[in-house]
Amino acid sequence: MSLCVVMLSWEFPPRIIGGLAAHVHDLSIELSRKGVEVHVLTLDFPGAPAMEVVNGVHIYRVDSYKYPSPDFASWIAMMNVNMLDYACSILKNQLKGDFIIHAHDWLVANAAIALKHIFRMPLVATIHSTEYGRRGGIHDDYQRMIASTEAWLTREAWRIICCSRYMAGEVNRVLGTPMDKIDVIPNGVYLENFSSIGGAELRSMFASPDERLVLYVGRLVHEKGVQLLVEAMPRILQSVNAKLVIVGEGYLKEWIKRRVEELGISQKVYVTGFLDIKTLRGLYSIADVLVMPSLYEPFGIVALEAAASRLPIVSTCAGGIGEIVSHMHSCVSVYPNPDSIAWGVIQVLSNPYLAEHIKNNAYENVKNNYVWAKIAEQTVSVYQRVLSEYLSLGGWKPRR
Amino acid sequence: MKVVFLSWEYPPRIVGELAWLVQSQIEGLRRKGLEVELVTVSDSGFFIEEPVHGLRITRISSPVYPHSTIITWIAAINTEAARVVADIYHSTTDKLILHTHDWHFAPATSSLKKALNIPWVVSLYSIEQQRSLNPNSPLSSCIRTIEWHMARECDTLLVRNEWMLSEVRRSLPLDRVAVMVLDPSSPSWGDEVLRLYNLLVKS
Repeated sequence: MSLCVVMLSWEFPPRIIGGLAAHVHDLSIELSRKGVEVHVLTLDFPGAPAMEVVNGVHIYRVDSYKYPSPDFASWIAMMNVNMLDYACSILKNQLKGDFIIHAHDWLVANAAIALKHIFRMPLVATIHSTEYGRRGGIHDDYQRMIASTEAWLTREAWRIICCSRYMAGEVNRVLGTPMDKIDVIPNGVYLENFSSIGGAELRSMFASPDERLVLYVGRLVHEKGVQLLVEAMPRILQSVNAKLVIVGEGYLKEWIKRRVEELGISQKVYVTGFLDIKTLRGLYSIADVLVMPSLYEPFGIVALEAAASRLPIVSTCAGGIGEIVSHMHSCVSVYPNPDSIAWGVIQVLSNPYLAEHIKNNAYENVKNNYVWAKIAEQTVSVYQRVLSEYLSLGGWKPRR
Repeated sequence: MKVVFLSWEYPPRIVGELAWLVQSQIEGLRRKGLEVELVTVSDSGFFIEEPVHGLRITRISSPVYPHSTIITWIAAINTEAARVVADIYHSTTDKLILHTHDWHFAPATSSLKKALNIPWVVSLYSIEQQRSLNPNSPLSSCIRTIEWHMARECDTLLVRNEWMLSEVRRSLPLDRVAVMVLDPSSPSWGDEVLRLYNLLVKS
């Protein structure tokens, strides 16, 4: 059965807002390698061509400012109107057979749902995170609108894909989607991207030779728990001479800088802000331990990246992380409080046998279960299931 | 041939004059033997009315609630309109014509026309440039752009009188569209519109 998919995503490289762009990019390329005809509808970016074919993936970039809009939600609404209109004019000529529409998150819900009905083709939706989860609850009408859009998308979709069992549970609980409508397919990683070794020169930019390097990678926001790691640092320093390197941006950045001064450890904490991908991958390879103190985590891609770099992980195992690594096998699992986090970091830094054990197990796990080739295979099976159900039903096909 | 009227108001949902104008136009066309279906808006959930004298009315409602602006609401009801019109299209072999009234359903109709090759007629009774106290505000600019896009994409634009024609000429791009002045209250309106529908279906 030949497969053709039309992906809808509001971000795709070089337009990168969050993790969605890399996910849709890697998935599309891997699907194309597996013989799936992939068309990606996304938004424009200065300098990026409006239409191109990259590694077999057809990419269409839609004008995102065609309609002036009073606010973000209206912009999203009109962006969907425009994306749909564009899709209707190109798909009619480009696609002759059946195809699957694959939407990523609520931001493209309107366009994806309308496409489904106009062409009468099945819709698959990946819910990467929910408004409830991102904001720790639904507090106002604006959020209610987004949550309601998410629920609408899951109702209209033939199948839902979530990146972890944790997220599947959240989608079930928060959006009321039946569990048997959800497939769990994790995010993937390319192992070869993390084989680079950062040398002593790179290390000297972040820590002195006698300091052990404790790494944090992620947004500097409450849900990622970075504030707990900062509070744990004085306790860690009582046992180990270490340097905490915090990579990422977020509203807690200024708080962190102020707090480390109050704690008198400003020479032991380095907040780098955003780093380019090459430096980040180098950091993974020279660090001694990665800490993921998250309170909420739909998946936890950083755990995959650290494991692929053979970097031992200390984590609260919140949300999806607990499905990737497990305590004393492939990570040291800690409670979300400074004492416990400090204990975990000291365990890894003072016990080389433990560090070796957990990092090797984590690497093997990633190699066997989280490489893109494998993830794309699972996605193809969802497409095949949807298409065969769609074809066998027969009654809901286009008129001509 | 079947004509699908799309209007955001129709009795008992009355916002302004449009509700009555659309009702009298539908009645006039049906008296001439034309099959008409109506897609309009409900404030209390989606439902299909029991046909009254054979007129099928689908009242659509936003599947998303609440909304932060009229624009997010418009996008959601347009997606619903696309669904309902696509259902009509896929369940009949009749030739369809889409006839929208003012700007509200222009986004869905433009996409339906492109994807399914359905001719599109617009009746324009007023434009944002006239209605808005601040036509350059971000909200009005958005609506004006929808009207602008509508004038570029539809097949025929109907206006009520010469004054409206001059207003439209000043505000909208008319280089790709046929514009006709047709007064809905004149006795010849029904025949003229029927002739237009027949021409569009044949082309």
